[in-house]
Amino acid sequence: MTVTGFFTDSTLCIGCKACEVACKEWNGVPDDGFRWSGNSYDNTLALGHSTWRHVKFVESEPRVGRGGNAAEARTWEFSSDVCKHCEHAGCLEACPTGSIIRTEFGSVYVQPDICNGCGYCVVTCPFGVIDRKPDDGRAFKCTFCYDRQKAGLEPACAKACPTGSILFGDLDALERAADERVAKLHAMGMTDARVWNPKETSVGGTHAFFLVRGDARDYNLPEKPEVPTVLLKKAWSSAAAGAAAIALLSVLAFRKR
Amino acid sequence: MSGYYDVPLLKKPVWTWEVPLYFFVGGTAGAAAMIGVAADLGGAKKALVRDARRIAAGGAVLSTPLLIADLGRPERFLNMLRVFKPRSPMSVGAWTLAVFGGASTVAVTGPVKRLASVVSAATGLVMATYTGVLLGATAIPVWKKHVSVLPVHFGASALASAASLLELLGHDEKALSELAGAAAAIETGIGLRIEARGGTDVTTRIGGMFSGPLPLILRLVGTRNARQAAAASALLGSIITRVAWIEAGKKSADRSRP
Repeated sequence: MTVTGFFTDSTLCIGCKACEVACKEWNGVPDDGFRWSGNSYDNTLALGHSTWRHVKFVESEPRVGRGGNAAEARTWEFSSDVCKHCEHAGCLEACPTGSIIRTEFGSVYVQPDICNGCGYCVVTCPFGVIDRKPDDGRAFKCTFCYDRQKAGLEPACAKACPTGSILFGDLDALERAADERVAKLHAMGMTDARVWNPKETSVGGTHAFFLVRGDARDYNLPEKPEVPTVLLKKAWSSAAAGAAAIALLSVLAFRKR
Repeated sequence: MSGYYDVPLLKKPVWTWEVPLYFFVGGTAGAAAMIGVAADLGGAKKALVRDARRIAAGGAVLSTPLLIADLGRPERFLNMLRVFKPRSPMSVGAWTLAVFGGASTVAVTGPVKRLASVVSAATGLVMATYTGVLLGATAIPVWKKHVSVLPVHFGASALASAASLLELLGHDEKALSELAGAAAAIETGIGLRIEARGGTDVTTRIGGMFSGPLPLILRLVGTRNARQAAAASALLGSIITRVAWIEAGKKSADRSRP
């Protein structure tokens, strides 16, 4: 089975949210609360238990050549966010029940019939993706349309995307396509176009990666994410020191004198 | 300025009061189990050994419903023992609690009390410290920042609360006071280190004061009343400390930016 991926190109996104709608329709994901944020057209703000695709609306001061706007207009860019399906996934490593698994497509999947809602995945995801659903008790995030992929179909968001901003396919092929796209954009003068995929970090790269312009942090993407398992050695060393201290002090205090 | 409308990067811990209370109860029980074995080895009074074992067993019995109550799907708590994942501190903790609970209960009620008490103490040492690993090895900035200190911190806090609880139950033993005093000294040092590295707030500081300097000074006074006050202070400090660290994690997630 080939390892599949998502390549989301923000320069092709028109902010239509067809991906969000398709995801909700296919997966039966409920609404996000209908709260008005005042932040551009984004009332959802982040991925969560009921938002598995999320279109970000990056508005900023006018910058010529950004988003195809006139120089005097505010620059308006869009990017559809999704679970990163990390190569070294914090949620998967931390899950105590084995509910979160790596599928045959290389994606990270929460088995809803196993999850007992312990909430540990929530604090071990370096991207703030997975969350516990209060009225359900279990943790939810993008499934990478595991059911559709099993049936040989592409994920619902990629199928619905009208501009080809969300591409689905063989991970290696997508990475090559992304590099070619960046080269093309650079040739067109968009020299700030770049691929965000944290391969040089402990996350080891992501199966869902993005083409962004300029500072990835403007899209709420961290430059140096870390999978929490790299902290285990430090943590358990401290625990061993603490345990040794408790044992030693106890034996010393009660020694026969 | 970078960032996306000042939206936090990370999700807040979903844990409520049951989790810090479990950290306190489980930690106290774990350290009590170790004190019980050490007291037994050193030929301390039978009543002290018995009470230490009872605290261990009672704490283990209380811990389980606290952890179950915190789950989003409590009826699925047994899924915790579906697999064993050494790389998941939560999995290690669930298995440790299962063995600790069984051994601690047998150490009070069963036919092989002494053997069971040794198993209870060994797993009790993990109970007292792993909760620091559980918080430290996450993406939450303030927990991660103090990852090297949290397990020792929680361990010292557990030792102090176990010795203090035994004192308050009427065991005015020199060994217990020495243990609680040593723990208070460690807590004072850890408090200073946490202050130096920053990132925490007034609640952790209050917990630190009741766990470190205050009981330490009271124990140096040396009267029986001062010892009792020190014990009460350490217990209170231990509870506040666990609550404070969970709350600090929530604030830290809210402040996280890419």
